[in-house]
Amino acid sequence: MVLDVLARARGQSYAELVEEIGDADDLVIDSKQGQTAAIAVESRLGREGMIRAEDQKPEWLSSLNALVGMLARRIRETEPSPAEVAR
Amino acid sequence: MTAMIRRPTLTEAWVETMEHLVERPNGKDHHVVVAFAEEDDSPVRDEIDAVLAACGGEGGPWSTGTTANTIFPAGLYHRDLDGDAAPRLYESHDLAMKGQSRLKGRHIKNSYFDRMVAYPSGDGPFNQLQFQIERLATQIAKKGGTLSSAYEIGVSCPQGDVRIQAPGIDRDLYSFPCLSHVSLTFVENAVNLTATYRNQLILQRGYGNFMGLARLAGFVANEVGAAAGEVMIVATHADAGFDGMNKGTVRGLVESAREVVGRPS
Repeated sequence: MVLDVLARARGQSYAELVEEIGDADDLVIDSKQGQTAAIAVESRLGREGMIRAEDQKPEWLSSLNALVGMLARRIRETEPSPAEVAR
Repeated sequence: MTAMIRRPTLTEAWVETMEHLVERPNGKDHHVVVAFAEEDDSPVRDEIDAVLAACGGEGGPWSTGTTANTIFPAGLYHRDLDGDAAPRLYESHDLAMKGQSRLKGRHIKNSYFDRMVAYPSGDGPFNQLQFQIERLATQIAKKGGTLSSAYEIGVSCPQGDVRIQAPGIDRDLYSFPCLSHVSLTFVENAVNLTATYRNQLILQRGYGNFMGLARLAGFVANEVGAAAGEVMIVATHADAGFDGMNKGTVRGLVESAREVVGRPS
């Protein structure tokens, strides 16, 4: 999902982004693209407010690995509990 | 007093503006007009960012790139998308602003670009920028098709204004927005841009502002199929930015930047 929304923010197709990443360990991204992708993930998951102010520092938005790490953490934290799922 | 600075490149214009201001009382002056033809890729930008970062930390001055993004988020505009480039820019910006609105501080929450594409009008958000782009594109098309005189084609054709300041909403005397107004003027197949600031901190914001404005002019020009022309900044009040800074550091930066760009011939 992250690659899909990031590709859109970068004006690329998913395949173009995957090709650009290639065998690299990480990808430097524009922080505005990272911010856009983070909110797009939140929106697709329907978790309004998942991305907090402190998540929007350049250190979390300027590389693919940092962005994915931040999103993974927030997704885990906002995972509905079994009780919430049951309701 | 009125000062007019006109240089070919953004960096030269910034250096000359700083040289003017550091010699003024308290580094401040009124009616400072700066114009340049193009954004250049200069190591001076790195020097400015290094000085800003050194006095930064949480709540410190923004980098030149962050400041530029408040006027035009260049990373979200992909001109190779052709007709989809502007809609994609607006879509991405809208998403980014949802995040931006969660940050603290008026200067951080708001963005000049947002005022341009979602001005808080009585009828809801209004995309002034797209309105001006479409109006400009229509008039350019008409010129080729309907005007018969070469003289008329050569006449300057003001295309309207993009308003930033929102009376009734912007009541803070010191905060956002410092940029009040943007005017676009179409002359000889080029889009020229004038920006009016009620106050501009030239060290902390000037270079980034100049970058953002140059990119904004480039965006409009690309969308209407014209060239990017001159960028002019009218600072009704300009400030070198000594407050909170070491004056020797600021002067040293200006001297070093002058060495990089050289003396005008």
